[in-house]
Amino acid sequence: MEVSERTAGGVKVIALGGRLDAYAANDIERKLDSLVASEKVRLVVDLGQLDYISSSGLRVLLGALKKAREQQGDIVLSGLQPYVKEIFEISGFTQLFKMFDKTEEAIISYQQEK
Amino acid sequence: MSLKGLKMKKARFELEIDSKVENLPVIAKFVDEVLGRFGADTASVYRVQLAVDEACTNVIKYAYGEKTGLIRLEMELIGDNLVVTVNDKGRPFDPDSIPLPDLAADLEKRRIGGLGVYFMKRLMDEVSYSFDSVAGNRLTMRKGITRTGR
Repeated sequence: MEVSERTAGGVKVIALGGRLDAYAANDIERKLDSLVASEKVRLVVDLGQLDYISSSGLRVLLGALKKAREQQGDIVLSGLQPYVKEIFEISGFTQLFKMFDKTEEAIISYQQEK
Repeated sequence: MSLKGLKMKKARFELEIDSKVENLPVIAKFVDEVLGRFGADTASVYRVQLAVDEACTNVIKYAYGEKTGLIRLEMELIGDNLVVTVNDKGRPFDPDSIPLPDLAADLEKRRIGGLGVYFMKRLMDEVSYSFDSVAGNRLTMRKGITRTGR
């Protein structure tokens, strides 16, 4: 799967593209773990190019969110495509993650917390 | 291939593949191609792909575990019903033995286990399981599919 990272105004953004299944999950888990390891991380996971997610992908995102919160940080999601969003909805994950249509809105949400 | 032709005889496709996570995208592509031939709409394709992916992930991780074995996937269209069968010869793995997740739990209490089986049951119309010491695990999933006009 495709992964890219950037920092925008003190907010880390990681964009995931393609398929987040059990095959891709281990690499992404390592990636996210390294990002949330620092204290008070402010991370946006941009799912705009993510075509597919399975329970393995959800597991990785949930694990990262728990770790981030333990360190007083947070993870918010942006740009979910309709079928990916449906999977978040039926899993009850929409209650766990803050979600935004656009990545810019997600970044601004952190900046307004200051 | 025309839909008319499909209606006259049963259409059936089969894939045999090693139980490795790197094969999950290959399995997804197979499901996509077969459902394309069956004329299924995009929503059905996505949901069946996920159910099959979860079933095969369980075979890879739990039925075979550290070992690698064969997964045999059968997809058949009977009328407007898609019947998918996932066969393996690993350890018995009954999806009904997995407790369903607490979808309303808050973050502290939320556990990830059981979501894969929940997706299979939620996205397909019917899921059944059998184990035979010779034939191994056999998971059958049925779903009525909506066809596009192609």
